[in-house]
Amino acid sequence: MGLGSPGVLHGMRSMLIQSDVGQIEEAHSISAGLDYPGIGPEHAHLASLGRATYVSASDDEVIDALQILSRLEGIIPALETAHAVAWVLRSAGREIPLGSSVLINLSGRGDKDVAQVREILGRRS
Amino acid sequence: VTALEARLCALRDAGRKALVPYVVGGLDDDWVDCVRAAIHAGADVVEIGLPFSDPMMDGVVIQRAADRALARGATMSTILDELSALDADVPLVAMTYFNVFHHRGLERAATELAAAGVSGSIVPDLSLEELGPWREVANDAGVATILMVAPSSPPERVARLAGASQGFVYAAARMAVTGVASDAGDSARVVAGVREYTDTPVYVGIGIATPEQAAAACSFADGAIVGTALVQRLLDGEGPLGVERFVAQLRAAIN
Repeated sequence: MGLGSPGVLHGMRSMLIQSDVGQIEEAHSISAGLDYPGIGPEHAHLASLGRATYVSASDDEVIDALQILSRLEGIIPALETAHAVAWVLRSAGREIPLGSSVLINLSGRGDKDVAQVREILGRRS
Repeated sequence: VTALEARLCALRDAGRKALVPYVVGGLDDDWVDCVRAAIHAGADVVEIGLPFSDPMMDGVVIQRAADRALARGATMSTILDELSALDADVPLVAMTYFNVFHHRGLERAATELAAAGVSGSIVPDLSLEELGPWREVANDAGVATILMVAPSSPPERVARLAGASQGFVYAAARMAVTGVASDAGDSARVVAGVREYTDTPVYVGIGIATPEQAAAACSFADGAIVGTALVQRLLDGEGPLGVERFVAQLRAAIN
């Protein structure tokens, strides 16, 4: 969202990460579901209307968030979903005042990601 | 009727099957010489690929060629600049993906194609439903919009595609990316389906790799498009001489 400009790919016109002649750039994300050089057109639309704000989280923050939610709540979020958790953790006491009630949409489960997370944590230690 | 279609109908009426080799623009320093060689060896139309980073209809060979061209710095502008020096005596059609034109600006893209001597476009990721804006500016510039019919296209869609395609109808022989399989696939059925709805010439592509396959396709179609098999020769470094040799073999087989 931050790096994109309007383009057409895979049958949709939306914000794409692309060069100055319209060649699509390589995206990077720790989560397969976010490893894509564009965003859904609904999100581009909501952003342009100012009805939603879009933020990002680093791979390290995401891995931390996945572990924290798993330990505290026994809920393993998907790596994609853990981005939202990571941003809330980072923003608590800053953009989000302490004592706020926060609603996070846990959009996917992380069972599918445990092998990848184990490998990443193994590399870390 | 577009100028391209008038010319291709005349070719058909003269009893000549059309041979359409595909060359990736900007692939090597001598890529324009490769186009020249293809024409010299008997191409009736040359399809010029304007490379795109995400060529969703192309198999690994053409992807590799596109990557090489992009890594060399090829863009729509550089390719069309080099092409305008060609002064080809056969029609040239450009094949690319929609974002290349979208990013350039549709009107500007169409005008630049025409100025470089390109008289048709093939844009596989531009659907019939979204065709309008491109078709309008392309028509104004004199660039025919060539559409593809797939083996999976239902009859009512074949009718609409056949009716809307200009220049020729691109009959895809199979449900696949380019270059993965080499036989006639469903092309005879696709061609017959298209002919029910239009007199526009019908050319077969996707899966034609040898002179024999080109000849077989031309037994029921008006022409054959050969992409991957030629591009592989270019990736192997065969250059204009290799193009000349291979296109001459294709020509001899379909005559």
